[in-house]
Amino acid sequence: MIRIILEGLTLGLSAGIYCIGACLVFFVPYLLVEGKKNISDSLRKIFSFMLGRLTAYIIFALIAGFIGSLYQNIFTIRLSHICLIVASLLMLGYSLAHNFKDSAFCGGLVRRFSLIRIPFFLGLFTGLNPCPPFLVGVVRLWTLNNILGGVVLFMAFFLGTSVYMIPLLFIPYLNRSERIKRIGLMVTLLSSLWFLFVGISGLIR
Amino acid sequence: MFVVLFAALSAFSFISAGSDRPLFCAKLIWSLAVSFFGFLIYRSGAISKYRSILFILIAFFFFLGFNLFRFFSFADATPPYCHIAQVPTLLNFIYSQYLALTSGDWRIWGPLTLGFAWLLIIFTIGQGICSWVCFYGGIDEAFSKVAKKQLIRLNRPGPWRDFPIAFLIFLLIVSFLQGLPFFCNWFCPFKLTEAFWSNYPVIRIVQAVLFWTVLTVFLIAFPILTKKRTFCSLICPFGAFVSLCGKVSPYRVIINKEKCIACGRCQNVCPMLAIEDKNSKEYKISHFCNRCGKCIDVCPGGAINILTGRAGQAIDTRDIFIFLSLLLTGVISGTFVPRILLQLIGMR
Repeated sequence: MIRIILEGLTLGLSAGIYCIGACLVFFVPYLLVEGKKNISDSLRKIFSFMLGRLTAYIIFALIAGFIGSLYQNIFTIRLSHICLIVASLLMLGYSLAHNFKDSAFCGGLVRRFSLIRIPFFLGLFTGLNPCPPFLVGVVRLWTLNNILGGVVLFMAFFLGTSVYMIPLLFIPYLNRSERIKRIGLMVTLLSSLWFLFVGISGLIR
Repeated sequence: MFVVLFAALSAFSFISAGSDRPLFCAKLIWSLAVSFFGFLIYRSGAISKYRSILFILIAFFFFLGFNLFRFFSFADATPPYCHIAQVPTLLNFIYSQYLALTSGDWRIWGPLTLGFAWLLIIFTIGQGICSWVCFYGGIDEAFSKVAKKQLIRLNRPGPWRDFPIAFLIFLLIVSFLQGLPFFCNWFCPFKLTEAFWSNYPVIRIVQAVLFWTVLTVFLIAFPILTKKRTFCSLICPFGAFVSLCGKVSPYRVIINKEKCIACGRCQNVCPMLAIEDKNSKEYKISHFCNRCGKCIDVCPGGAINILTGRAGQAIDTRDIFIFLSLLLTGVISGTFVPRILLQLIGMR
């Protein structure tokens, strides 16, 4: 078991830099838009995001363990692309609602978005997207043949990749003006459109 | 100034041409041409008029040499290292340098490459690079000069003026994630090679749609209709990067509030949508300004100038800036224009 923990940890630490591109592509702009200089508020959002990722990994490892390696390709590729589409749609709605918040409909949506725990859902859906570190972890998972081992592997992998989340603490401090928020919303819009395309083209290929 | 500029460019020509005498002669002729444009600027006092002609001329040669080379059967039409592609792949570059450092293989560790040279130019003339040196910008500028009058009024920068910064952030992240030059693959309207087209039909169609949209809308149609450089001001990620890094450059275009009569001419002619206003009363030049000199030329009260230093203690550095910009323009364009000249007359 210690070997599995070390494997997951080193895998997360070595490949986790790609999480900056894959997992944080939505969360960084979100922090730019929503982040406050209040450290406790930022920490709450970051922990909520990380909790979402952890939940996603545990659920994935459990389901993968129960299903077994028979459906590994369909399960991994389809699920990761569906999760990417869901995360993209969530952020597309979020950015469009904020961009047009002066209208009654979008104003209502913005209020609803503030009620749901976006960081948690972002963590949940971006955690399983088809990024290189995740796919490497999945390959190891299929060869383990051990449900508990799979969960431990992904928990250690989560810890390893979480090191790269530390700089997130400083992102809210960039949020000094309406202009930064506006740029954050534009990045969110571009990212959500792109990853929606990646998700859909990945599914139909 | 004219003599010093010509001497400096000639020295560069001598060093870079080596023992190739025809190339040295072509470089010398080009150095003379660039210096002559400098002479015209100093003599007339109009910065933008002659800068614009030189700028478009360089873009024309670039386009001729690297986009139309198939039609002219030019040999050795290897595209130069693209500065627009460098910026969106900056994270990839830093990561590759990190890997090279940690692997101990110093041979592939190359921070002192062209990237460093471009950074040096940015730190020297700042955003001026986009209106003096960039050989792509001239194409945008040429189209912005086609119509006599502005057919669509677009003078006041809106919130969308920040789009290139957002686009740059997005490109940095996605290029890093994919390990590919994402801007070149999907958006670049100046594609010099066909290597970027995907083999997968659906992807290829989307690539083509984006390529033609950026090319026809932002590089051709909008510049003609608005008389603004819309690709440079609303899309270009290099322009966004330079607008942020160029703040370290000592040369700034500043409006003297005491002399300004708030006529708004500067805002109307600014091709980069870089002049903001407060209810058409007080005008301010934003960090998107790339020192093209148009506002300086049209200001009736002479309230705008290129200065260095803090407000109140700033000194006039207009001549130094123009000299440096022309020097860099001559050096960069001197790497490809003379060769294309030789090819045109059949000596290559």
